[in-house]
Amino acid sequence: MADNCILEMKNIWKIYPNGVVANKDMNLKVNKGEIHALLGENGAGKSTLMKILFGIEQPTKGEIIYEGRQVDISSPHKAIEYGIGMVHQHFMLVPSLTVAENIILGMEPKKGLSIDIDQAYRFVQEQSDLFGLPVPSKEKVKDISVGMKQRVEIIKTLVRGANLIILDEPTAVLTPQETVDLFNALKNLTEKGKTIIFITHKLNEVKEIADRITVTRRGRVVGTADVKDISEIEMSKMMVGRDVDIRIEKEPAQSGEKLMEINDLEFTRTDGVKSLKGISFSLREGEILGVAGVEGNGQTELVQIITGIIPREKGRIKLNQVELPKITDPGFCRDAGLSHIPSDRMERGVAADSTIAENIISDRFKKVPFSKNGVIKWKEVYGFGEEMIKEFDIRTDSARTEIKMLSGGNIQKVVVAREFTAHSKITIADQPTRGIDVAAADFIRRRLVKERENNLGVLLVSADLTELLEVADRIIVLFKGEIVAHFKEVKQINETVLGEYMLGIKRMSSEEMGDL
Amino acid sequence: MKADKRFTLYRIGISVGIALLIGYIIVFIASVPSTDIAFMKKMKEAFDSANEAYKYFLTGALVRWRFTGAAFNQSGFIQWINEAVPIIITGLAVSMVFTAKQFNIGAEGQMFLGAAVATAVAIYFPGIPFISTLLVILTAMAVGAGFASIPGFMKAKLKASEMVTSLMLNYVAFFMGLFIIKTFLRDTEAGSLVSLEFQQQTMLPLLNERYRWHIGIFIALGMTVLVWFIMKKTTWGYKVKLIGDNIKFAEYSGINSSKMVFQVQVAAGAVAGSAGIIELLGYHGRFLWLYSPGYGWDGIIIATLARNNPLFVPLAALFLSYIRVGAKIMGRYTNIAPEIVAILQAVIILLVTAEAFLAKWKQRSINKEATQSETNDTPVQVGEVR
Ligand SMILES: Nc1ncnc2c1ncn2[C@@H]1O[C@H](COP(=O)(O)OP(=O)(O)O)[C@@H](O)[C@H]1O
Ligand SMILES: [Mg+2]
Repeated sequence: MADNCILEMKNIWKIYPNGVVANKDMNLKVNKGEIHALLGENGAGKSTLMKILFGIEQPTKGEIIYEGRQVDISSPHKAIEYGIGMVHQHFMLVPSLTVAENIILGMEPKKGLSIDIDQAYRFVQEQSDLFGLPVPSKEKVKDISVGMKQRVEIIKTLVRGANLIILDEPTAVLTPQETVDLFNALKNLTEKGKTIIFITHKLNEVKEIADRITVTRRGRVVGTADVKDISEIEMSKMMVGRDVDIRIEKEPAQSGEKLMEINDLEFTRTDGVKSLKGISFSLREGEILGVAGVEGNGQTELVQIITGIIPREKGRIKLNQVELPKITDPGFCRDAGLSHIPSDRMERGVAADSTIAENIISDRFKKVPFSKNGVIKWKEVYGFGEEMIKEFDIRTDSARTEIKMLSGGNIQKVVVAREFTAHSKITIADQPTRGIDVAAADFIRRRLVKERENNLGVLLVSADLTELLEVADRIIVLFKGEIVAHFKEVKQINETVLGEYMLGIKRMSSEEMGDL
Repeated sequence: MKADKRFTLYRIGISVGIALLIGYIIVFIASVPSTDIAFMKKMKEAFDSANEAYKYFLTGALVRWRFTGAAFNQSGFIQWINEAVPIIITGLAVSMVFTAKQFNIGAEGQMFLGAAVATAVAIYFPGIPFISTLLVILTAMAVGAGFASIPGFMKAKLKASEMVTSLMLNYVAFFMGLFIIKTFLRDTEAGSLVSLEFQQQTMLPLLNERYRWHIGIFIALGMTVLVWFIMKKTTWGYKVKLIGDNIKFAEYSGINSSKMVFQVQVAAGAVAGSAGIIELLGYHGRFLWLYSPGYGWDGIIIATLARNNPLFVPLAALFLSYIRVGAKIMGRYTNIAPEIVAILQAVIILLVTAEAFLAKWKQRSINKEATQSETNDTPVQVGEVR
């Protein structure tokens, strides 16, 4: 067994500059030619460990042995030299260049001083045939699907000579159909002698594709096992540290009056792409309306228009019987009774250098009891902050803690604490559980369901189909800026059905969709 | 978190220490005699005179050295306090705009033009104690605010970089100020380009006649408390901080960011506008600057040292004026040029703002703190499955 080992990471510690201990004495052993799954909740430290292996981060302590030699991976450049490649959670491609140009970027075949573009295309074609990963080499990256972009990233690592490929949550952005393609491609690669480290927090994927797993929890390695010897239940226990019941009980929706009406909404992006092509639907009291779709099919624009961040091009929006003016701002929408959990919490959802309490009052600091005559009552503010910490189970010692000291899940709880206590009738939740741990995600989903039980309306935009199917009462699917499907009975469908509409393989007629 | 704050303090302390050390080395090199004597003797002499120079530099503002011993240096002390006044005020102004992450560096121009226009009031408005003084200061503040509204407006409406516009406007303010003095307020009897004298009753009351210790320091400290209150205790200050921390978040929360960006620059302009005239009202009794005195630039140094915290601004300003007065006294008793202070300032600012300086050391202390709290953490079950 030992001679078969390609990589060993020994006693790895990583402490980030903000004091977060992301890796605590982690050990990882990977055999040549296997698919090794690195399993763990969000925040367990998986990405960090892999960033260390790829030279993006330096370990605080610990050593790495690769192909029998102790190595010092000081940069991604070094990692590539050793034959280690990585496909990140967020793709790093140049949208305006073609697939082939992206693949050869930095290693272009030259003809005199200029790039020999024909040879580049030939080369990319050869390589993609060799590894059985067909790509449209002449198309621009911005025009290809997410699954295809990922494939381009994989080829990029292969042409740079990678023997060990790290994939960080590769399926998070894929539809079920694309996931199947990816898994076939990965199996193909191991047959050609490549070794793969596959990060995930989805148990069924591990069962399906991995040979061995290493389970991580809160910065530590809990154990390593052969996949065939371990059940999904055992894995989930190791991963979470307790028995989990993630099913959310809920009564059928009792939807009432219309809270939000969207009429014929249109929007054109600055790059000329029409990302919303006449969208109409409404949200009622006491329901959660789910919005499904592959990222980039208009969800972002839809949310930003409704919440007043960007102006719409055409169409009408009514919130709580209030017509939104054409030129609007988030403050107006909030006053009209809208809460917003933004998809990127660090960009828009919080102020990182401010305290928890300061972040929670950002929409209500002018109101009693937080201020009077323009003077803030800090005692009240921090008192309220402490209350929120208890109610929303934010893991910290005080409301005076700065946001940047918290983990992702706890930061999201701060956002949620603010938005759910704003007494708004409508909540727009955009990827509310992305990148946070299971417990925090479960907590947030239950709060969303509670909103609905209090007769409020929730618009839930999510890339997590399991979440949508579990939480939403109705689901609409967006494809290229249009609503292509509407499911009134969520119980009767599954992820594969949704996936077909998300990819544009199928499309409902307006009769089939019925009343939106 | 604790490590973070402690570290900031250490870094400022160590930066000051290193700067003083570099200063000493320079003084030492400058003190090496050029006469043709033995090397060791040369070193000894340089060492003695460098020590002597540094003694004046570090203590001169407070101590008068006589053959009989040391005595309190009243004139140095008063000079120290008086010189801190205008730079406390500009430091406050700059810390306000910097809190909002608006890199408005127009304090110098606002201060200069405010002083020049207010000079007219100080000359011609009848001298009524307190009333006319207040009127003069308010005039300067209004001019500072008005002038600051130009980059503020251009930023809020046209998204023009406030850094560029405010910088360029400093020159406009300087020449406009000089023009006003020269054309309308000039004392033609005086030998140089100065304004007419202020009304006697309009001048600030003095605490010490001989060395002209004026009450400006109390005005500056009063403004410190006021600015601190506004920035830390009001909804307005909260909005400013939020905008500086994350402007997208502030907008998302419903704050009108372009209005706030404009307001904070104007408010800071009002504060900066009063810096120059207060010194003229307290000390000189007329406008006499032929070149811009640089208090606005000092404000940037001070706000940086004080980490934009209004309560730390007077400390930083008093520190800066202390080493400046010390350097002048050193220059008087030795042949070391007082401009050495500029080198020290540069080194301190460089080190205080250089994120990477001591970062390794910081990481080590964070590691220590993190691993310590780690032991309190409930350990996770570790073990091989199967
Ligand atoms: N660059 C960083 N700076 C500070 N903390 C970080 C950084 N990256 C990740 N973390 C923190 O380290 C922990 C582990 O994160 P990560 O390795 O991304 O986990 P995973 O990939 O398993 O979800 C989290 O608490 C996260 O907030
Ligand atoms: Mg990750």
